[in-house]
Amino acid sequence: MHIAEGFLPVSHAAAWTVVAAPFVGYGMRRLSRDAAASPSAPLLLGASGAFTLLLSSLKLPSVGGSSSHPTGCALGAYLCGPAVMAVLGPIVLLFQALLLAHGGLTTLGANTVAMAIVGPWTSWGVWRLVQRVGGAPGVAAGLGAAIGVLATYATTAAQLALAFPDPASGIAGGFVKFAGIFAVTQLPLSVVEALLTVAALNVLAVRGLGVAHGRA
Amino acid sequence: MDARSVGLVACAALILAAIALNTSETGVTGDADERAQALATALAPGYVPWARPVLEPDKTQETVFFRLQTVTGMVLFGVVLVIAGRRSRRGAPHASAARR
Repeated sequence: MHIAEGFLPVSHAAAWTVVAAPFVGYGMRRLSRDAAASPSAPLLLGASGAFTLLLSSLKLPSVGGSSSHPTGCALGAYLCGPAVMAVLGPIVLLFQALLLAHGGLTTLGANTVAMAIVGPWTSWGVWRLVQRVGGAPGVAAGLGAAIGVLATYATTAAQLALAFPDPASGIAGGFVKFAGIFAVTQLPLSVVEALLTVAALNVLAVRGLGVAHGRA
Repeated sequence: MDARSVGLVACAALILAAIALNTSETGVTGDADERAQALATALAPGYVPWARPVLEPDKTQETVFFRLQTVTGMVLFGVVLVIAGRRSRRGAPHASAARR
C-alpha cells in the first residue's frame, strides 16, 4: 500500500503530512503516558511493533500475478490503542522507505495516514462495535483486522485518485481504478490478516498479555 | 492453550510458511503498488516523480532486507513472548489494554 517516493505532487505530500502530524503527536503523548503507567506496556508495545514489522514484510502472491502485504496494525490497535499505532506505524514505514525503496520519505505522511491512522482506528472501531453488539471476541478481532486492512488500501486508492484523477470520470473514476488494482490482492489478504491477528492475540493472551474485553 | 487456539496458531504458521515459500519465487514483481504507479503514470503521462529513494536496492538486496525485516519482527515477537511467559509464571500482574 506504500505510495512510492516522489509519486505524490508536492502539495499533496505536504497536505498528508500535515494531516498525519497531530495524530503522531497525540500518539507520542499517549505512548509516553501509557509506558509510565503500566509495567506491561513495554511488552505490549514490543509485541505490537514486532507484529507490524513482521506482517508488513510478508509479500503475499495473489490472483493475476499480483502481490501485496498485510499491515499487522490491528493487533497494536487492540493491545495499545489505535492512537499509539500512529507512532509505531511510521517507524516501520521509515525502515521500508530508507532500506527497501518501498514507500518514501516524501510520501511518509500519506502512507502514515493510510496504514498507521485510518487502518488501526477502523480496526479498533469495528472490534469495539462487534463486541458491543454481542459478537465473539475472536470474530470481533478478526473482522476488525480484515476491515482495517481494506480501509488502509481504500485510503491509499483515494490518495492516488486525488493526485491522479481519471481524465474522463474524475476523482471517483480514478478511485475505482486504483481500488480495483488493490482489491485483487487485498480481499484474500484481509482474511490472512484476520487469521494471523486472532492467532497472535491468542498466543499473547495465554502469556498474560490480554485485552480488556476478554481473550480474542 | 485450548484446541481452538492451537488450530488457529497452526493455521497462522501454515499461512506464514506458504507466504515465505512463495516470496522466494515471486520476489516483488507484480506488486500491487507497482501496478498502481503504472496506472498513475498512465493517467498523468507528464508526471515525473520529484524525489528519488534514498537507497535503490537491486532484487537480491531487496529480498535480503525484506528477510531481515521478517526475522527482526519474528525475533522481537519471540522475545516478548518469552518475557511475558516468564512474568506470567512468576505471577506478575499484566495490565490489559483497550485504550483509545
